[in-house]
Amino acid sequence: MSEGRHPDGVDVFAVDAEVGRDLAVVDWAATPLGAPGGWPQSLRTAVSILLASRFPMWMAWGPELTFFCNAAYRRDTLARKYPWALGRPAREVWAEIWGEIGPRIESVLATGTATWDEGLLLFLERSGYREESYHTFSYSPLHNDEGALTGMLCVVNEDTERVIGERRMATLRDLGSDPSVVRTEREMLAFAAEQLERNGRDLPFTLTYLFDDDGGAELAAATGLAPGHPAAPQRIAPGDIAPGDTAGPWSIAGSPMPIDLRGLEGLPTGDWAEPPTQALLLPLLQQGATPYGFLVAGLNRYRLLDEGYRGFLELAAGHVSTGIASARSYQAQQRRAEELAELDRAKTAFFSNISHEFRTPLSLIMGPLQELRDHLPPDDQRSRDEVEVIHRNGLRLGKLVNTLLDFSRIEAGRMQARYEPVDLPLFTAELASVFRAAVERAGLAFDVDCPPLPQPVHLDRGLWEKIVLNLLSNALKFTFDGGIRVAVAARDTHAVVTVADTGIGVPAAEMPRLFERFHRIATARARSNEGSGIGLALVQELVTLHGGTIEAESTPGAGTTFTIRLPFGAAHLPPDQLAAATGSDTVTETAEPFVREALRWLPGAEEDHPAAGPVVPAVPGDGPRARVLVADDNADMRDYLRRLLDSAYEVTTVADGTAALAAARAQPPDLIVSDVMMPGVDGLALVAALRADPRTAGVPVMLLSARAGQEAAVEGLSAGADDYLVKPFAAQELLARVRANVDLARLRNHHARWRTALIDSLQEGFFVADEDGAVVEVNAAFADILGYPADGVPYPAPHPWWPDPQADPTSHEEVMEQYRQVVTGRHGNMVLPLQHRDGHRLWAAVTINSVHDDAGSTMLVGTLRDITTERSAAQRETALNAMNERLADARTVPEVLQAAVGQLRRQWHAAGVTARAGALTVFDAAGEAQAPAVLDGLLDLGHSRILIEMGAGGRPVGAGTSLDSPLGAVGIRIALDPARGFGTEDQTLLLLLCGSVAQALHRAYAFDQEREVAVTLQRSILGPVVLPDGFAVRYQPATRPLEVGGDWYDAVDLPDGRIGIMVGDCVGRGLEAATVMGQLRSAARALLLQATGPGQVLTALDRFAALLPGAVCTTAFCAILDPEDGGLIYASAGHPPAILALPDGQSELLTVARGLPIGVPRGEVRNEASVTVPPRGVLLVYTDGLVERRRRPLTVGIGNAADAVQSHQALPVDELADRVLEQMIGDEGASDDVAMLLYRHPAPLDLSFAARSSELAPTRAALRRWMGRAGIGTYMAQQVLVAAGEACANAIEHGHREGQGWVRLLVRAMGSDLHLTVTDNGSWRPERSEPDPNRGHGIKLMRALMQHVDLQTGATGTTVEMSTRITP
Amino acid sequence: MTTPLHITTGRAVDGVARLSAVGEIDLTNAAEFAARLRDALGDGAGRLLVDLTRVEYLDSAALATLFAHAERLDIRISPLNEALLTFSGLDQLAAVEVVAGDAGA
Repeated sequence: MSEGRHPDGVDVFAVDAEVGRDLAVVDWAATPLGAPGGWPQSLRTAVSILLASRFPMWMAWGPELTFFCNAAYRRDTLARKYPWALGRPAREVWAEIWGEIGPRIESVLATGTATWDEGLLLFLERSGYREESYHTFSYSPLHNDEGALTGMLCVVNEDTERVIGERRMATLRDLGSDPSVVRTEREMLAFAAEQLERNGRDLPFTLTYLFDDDGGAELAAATGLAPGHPAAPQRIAPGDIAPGDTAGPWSIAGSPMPIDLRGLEGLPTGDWAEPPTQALLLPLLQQGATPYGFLVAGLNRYRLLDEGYRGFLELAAGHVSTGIASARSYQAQQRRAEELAELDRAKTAFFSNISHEFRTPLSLIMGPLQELRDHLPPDDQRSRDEVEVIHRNGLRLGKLVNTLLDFSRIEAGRMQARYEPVDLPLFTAELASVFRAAVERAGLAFDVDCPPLPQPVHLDRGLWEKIVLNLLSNALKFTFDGGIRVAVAARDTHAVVTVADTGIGVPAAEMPRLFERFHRIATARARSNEGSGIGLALVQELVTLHGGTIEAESTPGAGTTFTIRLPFGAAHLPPDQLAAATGSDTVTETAEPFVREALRWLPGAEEDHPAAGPVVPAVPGDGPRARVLVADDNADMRDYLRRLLDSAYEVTTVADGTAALAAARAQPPDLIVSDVMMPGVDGLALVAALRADPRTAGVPVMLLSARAGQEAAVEGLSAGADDYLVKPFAAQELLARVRANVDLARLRNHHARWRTALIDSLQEGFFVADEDGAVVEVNAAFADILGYPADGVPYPAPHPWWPDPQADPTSHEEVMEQYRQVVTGRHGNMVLPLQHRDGHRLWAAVTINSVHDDAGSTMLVGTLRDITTERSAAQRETALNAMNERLADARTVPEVLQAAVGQLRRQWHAAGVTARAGALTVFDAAGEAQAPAVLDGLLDLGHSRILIEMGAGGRPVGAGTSLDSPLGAVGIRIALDPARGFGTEDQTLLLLLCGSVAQALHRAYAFDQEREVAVTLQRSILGPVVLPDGFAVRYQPATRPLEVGGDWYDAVDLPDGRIGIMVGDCVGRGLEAATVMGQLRSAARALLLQATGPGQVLTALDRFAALLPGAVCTTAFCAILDPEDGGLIYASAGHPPAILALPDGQSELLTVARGLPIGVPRGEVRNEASVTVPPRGVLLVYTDGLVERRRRPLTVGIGNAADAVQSHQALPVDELADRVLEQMIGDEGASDDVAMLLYRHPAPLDLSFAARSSELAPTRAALRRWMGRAGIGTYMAQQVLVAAGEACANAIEHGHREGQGWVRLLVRAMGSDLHLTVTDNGSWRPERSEPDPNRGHGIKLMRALMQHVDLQTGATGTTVEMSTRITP
Repeated sequence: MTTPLHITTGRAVDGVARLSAVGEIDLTNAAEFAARLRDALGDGAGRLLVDLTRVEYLDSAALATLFAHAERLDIRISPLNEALLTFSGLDQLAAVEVVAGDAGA
């Protein structure tokens, strides 16, 4: 531990106890990094950020890219390589994937640009084998204290579980994706193989073998392997199959152990480069029977056969088994439907032909039954009930048989009617009266209006009975309110009988078919749906037989009226069927079945459990008994079914579809057995309603119907029924079907439970939404991610996890927009800001697909993944990059801090950010710098800690931290928006950003130091130049990289009074260039002192350069100036042209004497040219660093330089030089170094003399001469002379009186202005208290002669400033 | 060192008293100039012609001397120095004639 302790007490490894401990024991001294005590600040900062982060990270530092990682990385990715990897070269740690990651790391180190990879496949060897793994990661550069790229930081998220899980889920989803189209077994296997083949990573090959009847196994499907391959024999003979042992090459022991494939040649590789080494054999299980066969799956050699993989394979095999089961069941179903249709046809023919044969046995049943009823002991209630059921249904059967017989007779023209004159009103009223009890029990009014008729009507009494009873029965069946009216009246030659009801009526569209045989009117409501549909048809036939007519009028909702007209007399009837009146008006037994049947329709007519004794389970179940819901409007059928099923199932019965639906929704049964034809909601509607409701969509339904034929069965099955049974049915068949369906349902429920378990085990949130966007199903992960549990469904839109429209309108609108696109049919992937139930915000990646369910409605199925962390990582990356980008532009410590607080404020949309480093406080805020007290507290906070200030309501209002810098601790405080919060992610980010800031501070500090050193060095090489008057020179090193360069300037007084000027630029940078520059400069200076002209100087330098390595190709401008008249002789050696800025605003380039760079020409004398620097003209000589910029022509830079001089003409030459440099180079600094020399002609006149009046005349003479050089006209010069003379005279007078006085006169011409300054060290006389009247004119004259006069008198002397505009 | 100044006095052909100065007048020789001017004026009330056309430079000390006797002076001055008399207001007291000479040219 002592090794890891930094001298100032900061333990670099202390941030994480565990990894830190292991890092501390690494023998760092043996690595290129050396002992931690000597590590640079940047490395220590990087390591502590790494260790403090809970996000998986590793980093590499130094020449060998020495490896560091944190606890999260160790946990997620490093596995057995920990702690071996610590301190080792990264290349060694990740040798197996170096081919992938090496170039990325090199790229980061070469360019300083971060990399980003998402879900990259890498084969790691961390667990003893080559392992398929996926990683999302970014490599970012790390800089050392000197700002050089020295390492890289990897922030990584291992995606292996997710990627592989998604892939497997996709395969399972695809396998189960197509249940709506029932296929043949072959189609099903082909479909399954197609899906299996698409996952070549988990299933390099698969073989599906199905057992055949003689005990062998046939290859039914193969993926990856061609049939006939040694590993894939087409057939395995029975002899080669030993259950529990082997099948051909395959062990079929059902053994959970994988099979070793080594030794099998030519195996496919799937999606990999190498073939699998193992395979797993999975039985294709059949419920309650031997397996269908088995599936051989080649295994992914890069993954362990763990629980997840095994589970996936078992589920895949399960899908294949289910497919086989469903295909075989469909085939059986089809066969059965065909057989049933055949049977029905035969039955119909049989029934029509010999139905009369029923009459005898029926009579023989009913007769003795009647006897039995009469003689049963009264206390044997059970027997009585049973006999009662037999009797009722015997009667009903008899009625149906009779009706059918009537029909066949009518059809065959063999109806034996016997028409006799009958008192129609009396007989009709008699018939009506037998219905009175039933009608009244139904709560209806019964109005019978049958006044006597003038004459009898010829009727067959039996047939008339059927006419009236059928009509009454019909009326009662469809009337729920009001009443029924029977009336008889005479109309001309006819008797008119009406049967009217106030029932539901018949729709107009159905009226034409009302009397059609076997046509049943579809009605919304009836007391019973029993009936053959032949009642009214028979009535019409019978009325026609009587020579009468029947009409119906109906208004839906108001009632129906049947009107029968029968002619009086007998002329319309066949004479041979006429008979004399019998006189009997009593109702025959025909009426009884009608009435009894009608009574059964009415409430209270049945005892629901007439025969039920205590329920004794006949089959002792292994578990709770299956629950069966029976729906039938026929009470007898209900009772019958209950009795049949009671012994093995828990039976509930209901009388119609509505009740069935309610019961099923209340508690979904294991099976519903329903009649197809029921009043109100019929069987088909019931199935549709059940399927539409997610709670009952999975409940199997078995329909019962009297309608035979394939069409009816298909109608029922396509409505969604699971089975269809035609009445009449054998009890055994019903039981068998019920059992099969219940078993299948349980199997299906087993699958459903599997599905639920699978969905719940998904890491991703899963949800199903209906057409309206209401979420109707969610899994456990969904509940975890958003806080809304499965038992809270449905969640209608707008969903409660959408962002609050008030608090966060932007996010809300974003989600709304996506939602609108989803409901209008656009699907796909989206990333949404959502809100957890507890209020915290999260980012979710949502994938939505629409599917059509069996009922044809559109459902949305989606998955949801909380990507807040990934997103944060990406955002962190962005934030880090943004910060680094901003910091990159900051060169000084205050600039770094300013950039940092600005970026931090933007990052958190903060009200303000303040940083304090020693006495320096920097802030970025709308108002003032805040909370100095808090900042002081932060300085002692310690490393990698964050102080959060809580405000009202426990919301964070401020976050502060501190970081190390060369200036000492720096406190940073962010004034937070309390609504945003400041979570763990924010804290991590803040520390990361502060790490960058700390590095930047070190860089800036180092930069300042280096810059100082570099400039000092360069200036020391350039020497302490005593410049001739009128000159200014500047040297500016290149900003980055900061190095001394090869540029120089020189201006030297020559013996003849002229001035030698030289500006040059050596090739290259650094100390070497500086050395060459120093020698060239000395040589040039010496040559200037001796030579007569610049051409000679450069020519001599050419020779000199030949002897000096590195001097060739130096460029230089050399000139000799006559300061008296501005005459300039110059020569250039490949140097950018000097600029002559004229006082009239024009500029001129000195391009006449151009030549090649130094050392290039050999022995030739260089050209010279002459030019005159006019009065107040400025000469600018420079090196290319001043004017050269990327992507800009040099001429533009030169033009800019000339403009820069012109725009500051009025300044003294020193200030002018500063401004030009500032304007040309600006804040960003130059990429190359710059040397610059400026001269303004003439040089200022600067005279100092003793305060004696005898100095006045020589001073005047010098000033007069200077004004000549400055181009000032005689007249104006005279005025300047007087003004200056007055000022000097005053100064002398004064200074003289004081004793050791001196006077200084400084005169400068700048642009179009002339400036004079007269300074003395005496004290000026106050203007007004002038005692000597003779001297009173002096100051007045100065003011009259000059445009500006300013007197400053102080204790140390007086200064007179005067200026005037130079006029020609 | 005294600034070079050469002063001659006398009477012209018409009998008018006359003082001619050549050179420069400044602090160093203003006293001499004043003494010679007083001598040339004498005690009478006659006018004095002061010819300064060949004076290259004169300052406020010279002007002060001229002001003291302005009402009796006829001053000849070169254009170069005319402005001094104008700015100081001397031209309103003394008769001033600008004569182009070689002074200061």
